Amino acid sequence: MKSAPTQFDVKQSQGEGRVQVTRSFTLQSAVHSSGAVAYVFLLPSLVFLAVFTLWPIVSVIWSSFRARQGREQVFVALQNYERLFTDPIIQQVLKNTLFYVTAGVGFAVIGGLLLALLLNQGLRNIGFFRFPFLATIALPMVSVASIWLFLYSPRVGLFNEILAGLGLPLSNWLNGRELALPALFVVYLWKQLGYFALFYLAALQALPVDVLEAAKLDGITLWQQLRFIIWPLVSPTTYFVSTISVLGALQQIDHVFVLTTGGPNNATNMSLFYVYEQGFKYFNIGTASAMTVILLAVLMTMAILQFVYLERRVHYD
Amino acid sequence: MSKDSVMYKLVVIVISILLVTGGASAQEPITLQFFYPVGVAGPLAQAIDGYVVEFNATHDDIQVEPIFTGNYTENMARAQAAIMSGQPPDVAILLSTDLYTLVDMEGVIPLDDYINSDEPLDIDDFFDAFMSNSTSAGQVWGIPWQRSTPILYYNKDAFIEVGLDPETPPATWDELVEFGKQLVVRDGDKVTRWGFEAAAQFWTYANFAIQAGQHLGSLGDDPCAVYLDTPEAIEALTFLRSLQVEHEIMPDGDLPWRTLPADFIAGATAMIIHSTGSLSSLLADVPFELGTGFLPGGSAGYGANVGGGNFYIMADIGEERQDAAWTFINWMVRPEQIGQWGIDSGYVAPRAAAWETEPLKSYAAEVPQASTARFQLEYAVKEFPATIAGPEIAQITQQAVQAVYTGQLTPEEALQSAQERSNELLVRGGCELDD
Repeated sequence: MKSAPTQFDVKQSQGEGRVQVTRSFTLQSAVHSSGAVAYVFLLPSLVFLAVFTLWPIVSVIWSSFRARQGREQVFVALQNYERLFTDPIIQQVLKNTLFYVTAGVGFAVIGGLLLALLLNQGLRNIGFFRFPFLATIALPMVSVASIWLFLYSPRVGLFNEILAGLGLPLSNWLNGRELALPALFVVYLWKQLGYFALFYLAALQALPVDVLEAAKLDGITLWQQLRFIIWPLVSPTTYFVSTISVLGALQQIDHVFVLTTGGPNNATNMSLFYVYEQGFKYFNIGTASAMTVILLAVLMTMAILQFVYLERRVHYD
Repeated sequence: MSKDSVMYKLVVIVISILLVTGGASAQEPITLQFFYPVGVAGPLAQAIDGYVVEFNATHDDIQVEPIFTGNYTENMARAQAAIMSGQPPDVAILLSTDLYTLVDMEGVIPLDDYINSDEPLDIDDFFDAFMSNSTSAGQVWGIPWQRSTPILYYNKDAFIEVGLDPETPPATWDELVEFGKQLVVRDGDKVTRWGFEAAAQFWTYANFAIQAGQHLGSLGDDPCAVYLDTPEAIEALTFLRSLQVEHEIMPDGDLPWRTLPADFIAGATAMIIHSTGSLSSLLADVPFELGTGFLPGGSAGYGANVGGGNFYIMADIGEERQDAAWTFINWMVRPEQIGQWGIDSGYVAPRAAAWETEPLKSYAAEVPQASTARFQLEYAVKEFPATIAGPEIAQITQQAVQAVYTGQLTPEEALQSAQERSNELLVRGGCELDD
């Protein structure tokens, strides 16, 4: 098996997969007209959706109004939400989460597109260059974080060895207040950038060749090509990538566990880790549920926005 | 008539089947669910599973099913969830400091009746420091099992290298500073070996507070007592910070608990404070002579707090199962058994008889480091925070220590704010604080 063409195929089918998703929405009206039969076919998925998605949502909303008293969970109305917003560390948690989300979107879109442009060059053996960037997607985050933990170690780690070799002052990385969050973010980005680039790569390969060739005949500069042709044409991908990068950044928890457990002094504590600690370390299920409900509201808003936007795109096509 | 006799025969058959199967099930062994965590490095789960296999082989009427439930936090979360859903395990190893939470949930039972039953346990044989976290309201709720206390580990080769006596670890804070300064190795501006590392962690800090004369919680049975902002508590944290910035024997910044053994093994620091539970893995991994000593004493002399997990028997499982759970616990804490566990794990065997019984007796003679923690128990006290909202107060204390280690706050600022936040939690948990 030749490695380069295989990778190419994978990305092609990824790209097509996305197009199919958008088309299926337009098929909805057809499904409606066939009524009952359709629901029978949908039943298996509906059951799973109800049991594993809808019911937990209802249940988390329910428990967000309750708190533990002795062994019982009792109704406390909005007290959990009140506690959440008076918790002195919640501001730090939200600030850290916001940093992750905004930096995450920025790097995913700009970094992802630039990386995809590089990986889309018609070089011989391009697969060789693509592989390391895309391989990180397949690695489990816990292994990645464990490796980075050694790299960041202030006394026996590679990074400080390099700084020392260059005669530069050493850094405390994850153990210092200023660099802990950015250092954590670098790990996340290192792992996920290839994933975002993958979507852009698919989009770039689906670009109409004639438009680009016509533009080249007109003597367009690289910057103009990027700004006025590629950027607008990949805009559905940009929207998609920014959505999944927001979701991804909000969902980060495993490397926090391995690298910092939220420290030092909450410098790297983020929303999901906060939920975990409240729920399973302190057993404040109510507070954890309230935070989950808020996260859920944000995520659902994002999802609805994307749904509406994508549907509009399909009509404009 | 014939129809009736058929019915009659059927009824007889059904009843006899019920009787037979009922009789059979009465002879079935009781199966106990046993939750246990592993809190330190090493193949401890294998050791525990091995003991259970031996117990099951020697008991026809009781079969124990060991369930490894992750670290202490995950283990407690699973036990709590199981208690609240009405399907608790039968017996579990949980943190000794979880006692108040468990009693508050009515999740565990007091064990005094068992201790004085016809399957008795000599509870006075267990070390006082460990029992202090196992009793409340005059009753015993937990039987010490994987109990620890922090000790000083030091690199004897490094001591020899700088001209210190390798058999004399620092005994006071002043000596800690003095020895530490001698042990630091610099290469230009870069420190290639630090003198000492104490983790930015509540359990480590609590020892220094005790040495300065302030136990951070109640030494007795008061779950509402937290003393983070007293002059002695502040003095202890100020001392730790001075090791980083004034004396420069300890690296600046956060020092996570789990990274200390790696630094020590790599020779990046000459002394660390760590759990005695790390002894077995350090003995196996360090490429130099390993020394152990008491934690250096402060103005109030030697001092340490204890830690680790106890056996608990769950409520609401029925007397029969509770009896069986007691038989299991009593078998596990036999002197020779818990002594073997001490050797396998590095935890301090929590009862005096174990140290007078084989195999621990010979092991202690062979590996003198194993006895350091035991003798330090004379100066050891109840673990902090054995309070309402214990895990949260531990975390708040830890955050204060981290804020000081990273230079974000002064010890006063950090500890005063930690005290205020702890008070809020205590009041919320039903404490009445006079103030």
